[in-house]
Amino acid sequence: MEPIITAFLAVHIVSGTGALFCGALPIFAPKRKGFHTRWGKCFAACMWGVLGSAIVLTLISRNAYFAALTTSATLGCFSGLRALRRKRPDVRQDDRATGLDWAVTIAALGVALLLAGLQVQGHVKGTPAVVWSLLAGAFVVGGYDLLRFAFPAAWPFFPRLWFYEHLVKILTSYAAVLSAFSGSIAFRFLPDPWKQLWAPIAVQILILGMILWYARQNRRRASAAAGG
Amino acid sequence: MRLHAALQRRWAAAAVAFALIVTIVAAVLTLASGRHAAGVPARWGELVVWQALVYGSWVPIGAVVDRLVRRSGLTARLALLLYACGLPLAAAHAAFATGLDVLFSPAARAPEAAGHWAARMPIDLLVYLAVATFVVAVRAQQLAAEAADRAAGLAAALDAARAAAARASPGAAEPPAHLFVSVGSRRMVVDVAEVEWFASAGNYVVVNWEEREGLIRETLSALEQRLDPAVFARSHRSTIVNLARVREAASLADGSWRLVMSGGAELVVSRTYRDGVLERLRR
Repeated sequence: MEPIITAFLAVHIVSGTGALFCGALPIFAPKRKGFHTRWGKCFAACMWGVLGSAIVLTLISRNAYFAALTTSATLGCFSGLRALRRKRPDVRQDDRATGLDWAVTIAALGVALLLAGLQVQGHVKGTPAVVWSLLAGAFVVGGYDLLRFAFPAAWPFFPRLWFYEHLVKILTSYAAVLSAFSGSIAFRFLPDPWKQLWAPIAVQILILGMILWYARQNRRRASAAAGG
Repeated sequence: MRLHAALQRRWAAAAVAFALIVTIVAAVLTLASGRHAAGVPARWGELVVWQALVYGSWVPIGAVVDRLVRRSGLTARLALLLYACGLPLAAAHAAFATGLDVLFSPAARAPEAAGHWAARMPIDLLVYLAVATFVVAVRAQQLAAEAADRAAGLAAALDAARAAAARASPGAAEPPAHLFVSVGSRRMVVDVAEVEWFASAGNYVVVNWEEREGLIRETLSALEQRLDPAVFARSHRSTIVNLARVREAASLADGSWRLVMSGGAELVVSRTYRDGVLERLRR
């Protein structure tokens, strides 16, 4: 079993390092086909390497804490990428959630519920605050996604919602990679929980700024198109 | 529009309530595990009140941020203001939450409060940023939805005016009985009565009939003027439906409607065109 664990651990570390560098490039690039999509695909491929190896390692080690971490990260990354295929569900039937979206989200919520049950019974090793935070994050993202799948044209839908959903969810996935890198490798000298949380804080500052920036840009474009 | 805004506010409040309840439940369960491990009884009521005070206190902070966002608009000044408020607000909230922790927790001691406050700071910074992002996102969504509604209303009024002008003109042509449609490299003659719906694709129109589709090089608005208004109706900015081919209609949660066509396709009737389409379907 040891060589298998070492092999998947190597995949996990190499993919994680790749995601860390590939993921930084499309963030500031113009959001159109070309550089952004090319490096975005590299980031997605690395993330699947990270999450795939994490799933295998979780199953081997039967560690519920890693399972919570993997479930939450997989759901965020999957949902952020799938948002690109659900741009206009109000006009195109093909842009509505498919069986795959429903299956992955319900499965992730099922795993999260199971882990919550195990945590309540005291069977989970790891800091309870971190495990419950991860599970709560999975419930919020999964619950939001299920509502969007069931009522795709209801609030908060508007034609550019996919853009913001993609932005928030993918940047949150990137924050998870940065946080893991910081907590376990680069910034171990910082006190807890700063060494794990500075990355999500920095990324959240970026998300807030980017939402404001793009909302302003879209309003300017809309008023220019209307001749105002 | 006012009813729509009220509905949006209600949805936003429901989203806040959902996130708040999940957070409080997670925090209560975290503390209960700690007490269980220390062999102390959980005392659920006390834990719920404690965590409801800690996380519920973000609601008035969110309301203040909301006011700020509404007053400033989505500007660079707002971004600077939100960033500048972050540290003092998070520091003040961390102090408030630390006070509650000392008050409610038998393990927390006042002399250790400074360390406790320092450990709380990054969490409160993160929560503040999440609250500010949610408020900004809701406002951006509201403004974008209002702009889309206004644009659709203007487009509908323009289409109606064009149709009325075409009907009033003495030389107005009869609606065509057939359309010349490109399907791949071939051209086909399609009976207009067999068409289920037309969809806009830039300067082209996608024609859907008998589960097939083809293209016409014409804009949707130009085609609409040539079609028989007794048979075809605009259901969305980008679709025209054949009313005779509608099999089923059902309302959706946001006030729009879903039409099921005779071929099984599902189309959305936006709020702008809803009343007109439903009225004509009833006739």
